[in-house]
Amino acid sequence: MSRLLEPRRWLLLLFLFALPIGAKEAPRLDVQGQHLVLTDLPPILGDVEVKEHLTTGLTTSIQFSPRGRGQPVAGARVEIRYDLWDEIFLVAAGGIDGAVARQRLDSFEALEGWWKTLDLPFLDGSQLARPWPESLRINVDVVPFSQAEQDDTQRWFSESIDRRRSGTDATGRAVEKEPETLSRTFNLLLATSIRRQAVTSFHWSVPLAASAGGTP
Amino acid sequence: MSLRASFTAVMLMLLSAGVIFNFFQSRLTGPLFGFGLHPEVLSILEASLEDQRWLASRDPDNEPTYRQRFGTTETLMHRLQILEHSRDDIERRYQFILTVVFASTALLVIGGVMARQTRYESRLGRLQGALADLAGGRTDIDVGERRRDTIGRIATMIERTSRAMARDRRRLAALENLSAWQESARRHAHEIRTPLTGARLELTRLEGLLAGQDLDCSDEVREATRSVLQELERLGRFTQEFTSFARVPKPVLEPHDLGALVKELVTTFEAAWANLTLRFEAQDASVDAVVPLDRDMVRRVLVNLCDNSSLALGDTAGTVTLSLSATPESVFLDVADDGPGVDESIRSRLFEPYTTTRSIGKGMGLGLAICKKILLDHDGDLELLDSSSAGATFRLTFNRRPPEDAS
Repeated sequence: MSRLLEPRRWLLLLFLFALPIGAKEAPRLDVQGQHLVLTDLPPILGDVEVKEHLTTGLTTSIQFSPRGRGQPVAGARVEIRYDLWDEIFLVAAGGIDGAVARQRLDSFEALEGWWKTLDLPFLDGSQLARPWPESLRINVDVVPFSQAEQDDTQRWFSESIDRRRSGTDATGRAVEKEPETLSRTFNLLLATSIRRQAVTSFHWSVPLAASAGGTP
Repeated sequence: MSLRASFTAVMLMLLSAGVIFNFFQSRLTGPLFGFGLHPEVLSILEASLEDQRWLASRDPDNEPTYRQRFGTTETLMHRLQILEHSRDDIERRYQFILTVVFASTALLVIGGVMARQTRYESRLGRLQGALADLAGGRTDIDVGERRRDTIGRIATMIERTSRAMARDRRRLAALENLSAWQESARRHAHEIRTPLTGARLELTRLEGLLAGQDLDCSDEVREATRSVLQELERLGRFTQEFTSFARVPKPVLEPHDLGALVKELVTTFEAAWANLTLRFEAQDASVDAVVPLDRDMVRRVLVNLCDNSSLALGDTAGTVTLSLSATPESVFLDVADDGPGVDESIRSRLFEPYTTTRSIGKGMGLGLAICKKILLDHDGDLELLDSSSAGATFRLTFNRRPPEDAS
């Protein structure tokens, strides 16, 4: 085996490659009132995989959630939809406080600028046990379409494969005698395989040391 | 085929079916999805969106229409994009469903085949047991198979064979019994006939000697001589009956229509018994009653049965009904009267010689024994089918196939 193919070398390379992501690209958690707010978000919208989905016209959801077991209830979500007719970005950002801020942005640059200045209430400080940990691990999932879009597509797909409703062709007539419950179960099983899944994820470790002494 | 061989065959078939199914399935689902989600479709939809926008900018008056079309196209494009995104999941789910359906079907088939094979083995086991019983000489075999498949047919054959064996045994026993009686009758007739002939001659000579004598007691002597002669005549008749029974001839079998024979008998003997009305129940046209038989001997049997009925009725008027029925193997002639029936005490030995309820001198009880012998010699049988105070029914059985020794 050549030296280049030694497993240890590969592991070292992988570690070096992955190091900047976790180390440099992490937001801040600031105490604002009762909440810990995510600010100074890393520019993940420019990521190739993310950007590709932002302009499809589907609603891209960026979901923030605590990572690991035993974490307090926390979370935030940003939804971005590119309006293909008006060619603008319609964004909505909602945090743990339940408030949703909506914006219309006319370019991707404006979207990136808005992202940089975005403050997302992520965690109710009172939920966090004292003393606070040194850092909080946050998971960010980029999901390419919304729940409503998923439901709509599931319904459409199910109706499309159910020939009895949509067609009067020979095939449709041939399957007319098929047991309805069996057919519906089959359609349902197929349709529910359309699921929202993250196309990419980011994992951040956000230090809490700066705010450790603060009282929310 | 054994259970193991069947299982292996089914598994091989299912495996082959599975491989073929999977091959065609993988060649089907992927291309179908590829066809629906071809990149060109999305490109065209995107171009269509651009077109709508361009048209709207050129024709602002109809913008709502273009916008509506745009929205419709956009929705379709979004759905296709979501499908494209979920394509692998859908394909996996589809394969999973088909695999589950296939596996369930395979399990059902295997279960069905195994159950069928187990049932088959069990039925074969029953058949084997029945054959062993048959070989052991059992004559009341009931395999319990009522299906019309091969095993069912074999079971029916075994049951029929056992019934035939039982019938043959009964027939053989009856024949042996009758033969013994016949031999005895023949010896008795022989032993009686010689001294009887001598006594008749001596008595005739005595009558001759006395004819020229004028004795005081000549009238008494003549009366005594006549009385002795009468008794010797009676003894002679009995000896003749013995001889008849001992020398029942072998039937000469020829194919005859039993129905026609019975009809003829009813017509001929219509007035033969004053207290008896003979009736023949119209034969079903589909009943084929042609059997090998000896017309005279069968007629003798029927006359004997009618005689018995007439004697049993005494002064009362009655009816004897003759009716035919048939199976593929046999033809049955039932002779039923409405007399007092057969006495309970003699039913079990009714066909044995010297069985009678008549008073001494009124018959030796050989008639039914002779009838039985005649029917047995026809490879058939004579049985008392039913007897009650409302009458007695005798059944004459004729086999369609002539007995080997008679033919």
